[in-house]
Amino acid sequence: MWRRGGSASRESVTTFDLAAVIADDIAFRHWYDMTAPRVYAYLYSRTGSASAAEELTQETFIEVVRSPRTFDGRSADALPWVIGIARHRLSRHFRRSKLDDGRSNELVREIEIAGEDTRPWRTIEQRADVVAALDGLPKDQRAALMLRFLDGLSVKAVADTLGRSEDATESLIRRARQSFEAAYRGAQ
Amino acid sequence: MLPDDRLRDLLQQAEDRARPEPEFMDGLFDDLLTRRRRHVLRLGRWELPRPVAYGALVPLVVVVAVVGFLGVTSPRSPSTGVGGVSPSPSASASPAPAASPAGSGDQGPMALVDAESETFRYLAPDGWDTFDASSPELPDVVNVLRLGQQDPEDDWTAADITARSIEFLADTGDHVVGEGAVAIDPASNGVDGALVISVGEFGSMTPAFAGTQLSENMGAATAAGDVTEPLSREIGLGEATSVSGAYPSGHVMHRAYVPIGNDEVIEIALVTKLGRDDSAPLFEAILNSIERATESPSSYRTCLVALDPVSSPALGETILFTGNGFRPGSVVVATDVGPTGTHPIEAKAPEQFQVGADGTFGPIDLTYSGPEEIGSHAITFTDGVCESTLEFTIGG
Repeated sequence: MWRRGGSASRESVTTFDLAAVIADDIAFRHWYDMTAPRVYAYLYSRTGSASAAEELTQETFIEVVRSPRTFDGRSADALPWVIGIARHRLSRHFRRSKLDDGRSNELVREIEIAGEDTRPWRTIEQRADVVAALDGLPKDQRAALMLRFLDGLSVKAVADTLGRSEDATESLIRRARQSFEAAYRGAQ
Repeated sequence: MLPDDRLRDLLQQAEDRARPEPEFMDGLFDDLLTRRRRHVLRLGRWELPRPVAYGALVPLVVVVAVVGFLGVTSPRSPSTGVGGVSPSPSASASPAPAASPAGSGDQGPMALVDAESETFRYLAPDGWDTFDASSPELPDVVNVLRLGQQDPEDDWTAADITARSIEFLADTGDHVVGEGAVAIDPASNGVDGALVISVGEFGSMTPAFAGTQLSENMGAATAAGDVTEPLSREIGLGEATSVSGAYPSGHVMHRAYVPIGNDEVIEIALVTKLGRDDSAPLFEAILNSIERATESPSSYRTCLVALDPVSSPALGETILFTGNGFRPGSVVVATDVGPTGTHPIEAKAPEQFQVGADGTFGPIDLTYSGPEEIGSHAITFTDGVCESTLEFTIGG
């Protein structure tokens, strides 16, 4: 499963043969048990939706199984590579969601008028942890916040991921930060 | 305002608390094991929302119509029996919505416009004007190509598209195994050829072409206890029963099986009109692409049997068959599926089926004399590895 780098000068570099791992049931399960929860957590924390996170995790690992040799093996850990795939899937998810949102905006507005106050700082006041604060954010704000501050993406990269303009994304991140902080402080 | 580091730490806390359900983890892993077993290609990056479903007898077959010579019109009306497919709008007599040259010699682009009005271009190999996915009854097939096209500027070859089609099949998990299905009638669609690709257990697939539905024939034959003679194939899968194909008169079929393990194969069948000399190279290119992708040598060698002089000889008229591309020194076995049932035809001309050192045999002269022979015949010639099938009609 593990192999050494080829050249003498790089013998100390441990590389990871993902294709070989996937080909071996036991090794694959072990690696999967280590990796999949982290991929799921990455996706859940950015979508706020268990079903979306499961769907995207599945898509991600299908691609991993399909194309293990596209991982260059130069790193001893394939997780960053897998997270890269997950982020790509996430981007597509957001773009699809954006289209869907356009169709359902009217419905959302009707619910907001008729139902409870869904502003994040209102719903979060009854909760006590940071997860709840994050859960209270609109999904685009949540995603923007995570991508910008946790993934360290540039505003432009976040904009590309979400399918928005750079200006709109900058504004979105600012509002997301304000909303999150307000919710978090309110829960203290 | 929270400092960036503090904000980042809080967000990381949120991420760290997320945990998938154990049931999801186990289910996904089982699914991945299945996909790993089935996965044979590493091309493309498709996003497939669901497997294609097309009736009980049509689990999955990807059909790609190779649209030859633009403007070819069909002398026939569409024939769509069980598993048959109506002519695709884009594979009809006026098939190419954007068939203008693309500055690439004989190649011509085809614009495939899907339901969302996204347009992608495909380039066919030299000599094949356009390339199209088809089947209004298998709408997801078109969708597959659309989804598979990641970069509209990326000109795919026929082999690329074919390989990606196969990947789609491989990606659909357990749904791909089973009886094959019929896809397209090249004649009624005004095309010069059609390509059917399916994945499943060897011997379980029955690709055929509308007009003479093999799956339908197979069911009827099985019910009557009249099955085709077993054919041996040297592809590491042992003895298996194959059913000879049937397709419109005047066409020739190339068929190959690429083993992918677990007693499963990718079956590739290309039917083209007789006289298209480029059909064999095209098929070989497609096959080579698949073999490279699967890292699996197939049983395929190009072999063809030509029929002379006509595709609808009269009763009593001498028919000449000429074969080439068969295994040198082998003996070709021929099985005729005709009005009187299925039977070998060696008894009629046994000495003629010895393949020479150059891979050829014939010409074989054959005459059908009894009135019971009037009707459709499909003769499959095989040297145990490669096979070629001809269909013709004995007139009264």
